[in-house]
Amino acid sequence: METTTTIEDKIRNYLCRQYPALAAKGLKDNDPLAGTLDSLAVLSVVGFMEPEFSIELTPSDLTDENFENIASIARLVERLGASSLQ
Amino acid sequence: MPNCYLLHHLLEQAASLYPSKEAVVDLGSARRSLNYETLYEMASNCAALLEQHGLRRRERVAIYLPKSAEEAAGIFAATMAGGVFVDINSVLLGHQVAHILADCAASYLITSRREWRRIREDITDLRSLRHLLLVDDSADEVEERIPVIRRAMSEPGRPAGSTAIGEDLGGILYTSGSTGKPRGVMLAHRNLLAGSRIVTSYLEIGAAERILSMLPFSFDYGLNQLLTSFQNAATVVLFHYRFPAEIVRALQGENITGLAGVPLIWAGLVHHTSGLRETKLPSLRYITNSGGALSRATVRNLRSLLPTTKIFLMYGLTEAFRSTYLSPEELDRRPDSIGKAIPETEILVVSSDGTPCRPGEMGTLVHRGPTVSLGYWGKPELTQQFFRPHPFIPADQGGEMVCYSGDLVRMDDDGFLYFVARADGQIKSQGYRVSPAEVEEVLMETGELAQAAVIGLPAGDAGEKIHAIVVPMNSASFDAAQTLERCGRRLPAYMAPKSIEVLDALPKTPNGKIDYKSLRSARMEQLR
Repeated sequence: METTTTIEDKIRNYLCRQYPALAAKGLKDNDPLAGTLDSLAVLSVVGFMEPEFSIELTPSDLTDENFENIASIARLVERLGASSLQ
Repeated sequence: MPNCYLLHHLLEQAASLYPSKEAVVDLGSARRSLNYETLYEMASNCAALLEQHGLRRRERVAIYLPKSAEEAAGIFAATMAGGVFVDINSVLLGHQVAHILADCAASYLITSRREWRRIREDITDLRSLRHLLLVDDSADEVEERIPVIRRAMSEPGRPAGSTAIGEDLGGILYTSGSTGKPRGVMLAHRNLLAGSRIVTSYLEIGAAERILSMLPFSFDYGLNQLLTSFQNAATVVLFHYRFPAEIVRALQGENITGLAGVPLIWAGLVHHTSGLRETKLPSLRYITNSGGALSRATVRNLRSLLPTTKIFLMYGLTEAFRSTYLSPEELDRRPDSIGKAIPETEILVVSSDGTPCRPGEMGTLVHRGPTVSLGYWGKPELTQQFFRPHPFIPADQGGEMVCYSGDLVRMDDDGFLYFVARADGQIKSQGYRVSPAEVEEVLMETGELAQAAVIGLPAGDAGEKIHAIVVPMNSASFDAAQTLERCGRRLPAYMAPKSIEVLDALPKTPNGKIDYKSLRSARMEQLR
């Protein structure tokens, strides 16, 4: 079972790898991602999340609230992961 | 009604024939609909102000606004008053806007309080800029160095009108080349109207069209959507998205009939989170792609998800406004082709020794027709390089100036064209042309590097990603992440390097220049 910290770190590592500019700033869980996650970045981060966490996102999961920061993305992953176990 | 021979005649004609028809729907934070009469008034109010404040014929009026009805009205206001519009992409940062304003010596800038605050510190060269026109109504002090005109589109006014003719310069679109900073492509009124007329004819755009506009007006392809829409008194819906499902919702909710996109937009549309699979879009009559090749897989997906929509693959370069398109009936047979010349136009394939290429032979795409622009603003040498006499017909036998694209293509036996490669080091990222030199300059500005070279590496439907190869002054203290972070603050997302690589020295050509070819081919080899 993954802990919340692990999900958040995995997302952070991915983002920092893809967008090295974020690494230098020391990206925190609650730092806003609006400027970074544009339409292109959204597609790439979804492409990472789905196989990594064995989840599938639907159109209604892609909202500004869910993609506000690392913490909100991690909450989305937990929610989707929990529902796929049921 | 006079003949249409100037850009703003398109708007005037639509407003006089269909005043109450919906011209622009602005899907900003709140949906806003404007009819042709309103949009015409906004443009003519602004044109009257420009005249009152001394605009002289051919002076440049820059527009720096987010995609909006005001941006569209500003473009027409500039030419209505006899000026030349210079539309600047609102994703550009202050130092880039400063370059454009200074390069074309713009006398006026139409912007908003918010946008001006974002860039004002960088606008230090105020020798040409005489007035700032703000489209919003705010009493705040925003600028003390130059006169500020507020409510630039809402104070009633009637312009005396332009005395320009179709040959006159109508607009300047800034685009990147392989070297140096962005250069301004000069489009005459007749170029703009020809582009609109030609595209209207092959896309069969009519008055009932509802066109979704997602591309910037500073991009010839995006601007042409606005012009074709107004030419036919159709409706253009302005839209910005972050998530794929928003595109599908806009297409459905606004009953969109036509959409122009770059590969990145199609990647979003066929993405499983777009909801397109569960949505029927019977209104969507056609889609067009330009700004980079579409992968066969994406074409296949679009075909199956949009079974009744016509798909046009197109190719164009700002220097000649629009060039080729593949008719939808040919798509299954030749999905890799960029098609044939647009109407009224001829495309020649010319070998490096200046002779015509035979079918299958690779050569430079040379464009002749009514959309060949007037060249680059203030750059006679560069203009001579890309705009040359007809290669096969002497001037004294009627040969005119044609546009050498710098793109390498070949033609098959049936006359269909195929893009092979760009002849220079230009990068295509997210549909935009990016000059390596411009990115390198920002890298060098960090003061940490002895040398920097920037290349494009394949990134699927996003086109190419920007990859930097650098030689630090002091490799022990060099911090790659920090350098990328600084570039990220100085460049819009499509221009910022995504990766950085440190070398001890950059490879050189025999002439002592950086050997971009070997840098790129070595990395392409690793990717294989």
